[in-house]
Amino acid sequence: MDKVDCVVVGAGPAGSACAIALARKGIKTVLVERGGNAGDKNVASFVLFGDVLGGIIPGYQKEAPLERAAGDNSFMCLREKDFIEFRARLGSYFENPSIFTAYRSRFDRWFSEKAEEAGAELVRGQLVTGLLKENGRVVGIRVGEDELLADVVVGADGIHSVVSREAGLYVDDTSRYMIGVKEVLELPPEVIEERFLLGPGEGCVRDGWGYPVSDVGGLFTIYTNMDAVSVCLFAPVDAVKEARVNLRERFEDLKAHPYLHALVRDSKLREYEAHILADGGRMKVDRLYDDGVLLCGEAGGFNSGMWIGVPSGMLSGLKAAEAVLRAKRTGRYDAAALSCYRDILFETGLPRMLYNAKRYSDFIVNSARKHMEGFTDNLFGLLEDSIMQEVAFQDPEPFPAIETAYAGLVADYVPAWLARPLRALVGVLGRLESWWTKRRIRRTV
Amino acid sequence: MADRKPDIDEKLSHVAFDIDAEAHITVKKERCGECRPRPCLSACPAENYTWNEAKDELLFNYEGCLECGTCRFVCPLDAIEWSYPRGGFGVRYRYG
Ligand SMILES: Cc1cc2nc3c(=O)[nH]c(=O)nc-3n(C[C@H](O)[C@H](O)[C@H](O)COP(=O)(O)OP(=O)(O)OC[C@H]3O[C@@H](n4cnc5c(N)ncnc54)[C@H](O)[C@@H]3O)c2cc1C
Ligand code: SF4
Ligand code: SF4
Repeated sequence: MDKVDCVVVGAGPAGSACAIALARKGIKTVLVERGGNAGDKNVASFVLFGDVLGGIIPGYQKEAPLERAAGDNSFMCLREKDFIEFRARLGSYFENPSIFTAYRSRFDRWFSEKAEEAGAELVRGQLVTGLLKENGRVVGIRVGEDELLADVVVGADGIHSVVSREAGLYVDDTSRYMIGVKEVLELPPEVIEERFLLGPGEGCVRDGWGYPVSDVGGLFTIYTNMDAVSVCLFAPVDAVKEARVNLRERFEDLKAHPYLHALVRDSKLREYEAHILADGGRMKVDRLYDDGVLLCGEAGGFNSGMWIGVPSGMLSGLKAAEAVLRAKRTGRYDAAALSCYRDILFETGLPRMLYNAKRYSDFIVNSARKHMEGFTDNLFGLLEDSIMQEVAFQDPEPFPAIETAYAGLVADYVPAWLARPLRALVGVLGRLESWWTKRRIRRTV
Repeated sequence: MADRKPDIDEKLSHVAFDIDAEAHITVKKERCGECRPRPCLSACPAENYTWNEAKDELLFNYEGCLECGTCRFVCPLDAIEWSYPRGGFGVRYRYG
């Protein structure tokens, strides 16, 4: 049977980064990918934050298959006929860009070829079906009928990781899983630039919440490629399971919303896609290794909150490679030798990222999903009330900002025991506000 | 929310597949009769699970599988045996 130093399972961003780092240090590495080409199976919205990549492939901006530099970001909230948008454009981002839109199908393929160039052997179109074990220790992989032995196996095989399952490291937490459904909608580049208010070649990323997934705390993204717009709609897997949310129909609702309709009308469908991802915080960093095996990328839970996981996936792949190299120096690949992975991770910002991602994800799971619909309604109500009052000039009373903000944005989320005293306090503050504002009015005009 | 029905066949006609002769997902259909509310029907983004009213049985179509894995998490009766297709087969995204 063949034997190599290291098998990396999965040529996504994490696996290719890991294989590049290993091969550059002369480690005999095999990178196994189930797609006929790396990227064939992979889906993201996709915005690439390129700083980690820049450390691996300096000057990647010139050669990677990228679509548009994305220096124009919006956050928005939708109701059935309404929207509120917050848009930020950072001119410097376009001058020296490190954030881009791209297609994973092309990007992952290019990145996997970098692993080949570095000296790793890339095996395409092969599904890893299990792990080989000896006395409980991982000693290689199974690929259908074939077997391949290795000192160490790195699981970079994404959300449905077979490596983590077989190694007993998988953490099943579907409450943090989101299903993303995406359409790539073709439009001429000039039309995209006109509709999205962009200069030639410039791109934007727009992220939103609310309609048509406010009842389940879903999200959506609208990203510009060169000659197509990628629209992606996310909902929690639990909502699809328990509330029977039908994302196919919700997607049609999203595209029919006035905000979306204005951007993508008359476009042509280029591709329809679906993929699951997990919010960060599912796994623990001291459960990412065992005898002869390590996990990185999505397989190891290296997702930030929201849907960003490519840069953190790449960095965790590099760190897994570092752990393999350190273990090699000791000549041992058992859990004790590989536990250096944990220490190496703690020299980076990844544990901090995971901590924040977990807090964010807890907030989404425990609170935001339940309250998003009410919150969205209140936000729009507040906007309507304040505008209507201030253009009709009928009410001599000043606008009750404190009372309105409390009723609209806070009251629903206050624990029962605090509701009465807080209500009373807000009442007093409201009267004070009114008295103070009237006094200012009389003294000013 | 308006009742906008997507034309799923039209959508899937824009997706490239290298179809294996062998199904990668199998369903123990004898369990489906009892199942309520049959979450797989609404959950699959490719609408691969449908209910045949005439025969009163589940119809499953692995050929249009987008390999997202949603169905493996939604079945309450553990009737879905889920796996990826064999290497090189299945969906081939060009703009993923
Ligand atoms: C809809 C959606 C939108 C997203 N948008 C963004 C975004 O805009 N920006 C961002 O940074 N992140 C985004 N993410 C998250 C990001 O896609 C993941 O965090 C990232 O792909 C993780 O990289 P990875 O290498 O760990 O896993 P993956 O990219 O999933 O790679 C795993 C690889 O392993 C292969 N594989 C799996 N199992 C086997 C097996 N048994 N044998 C052989 N090969 C196997 C797969 O084919 C794949 O190539 C998004 C995710 C989704 C689902
Ligand atoms: S959810 Fe499972 S048991 Fe129910 S109909 Fe679907 S496959 Fe059958
Ligand atoms: S993996 Fe996804 S696309 Fe395939 S049958 Fe299951 S839910 Fe449908």
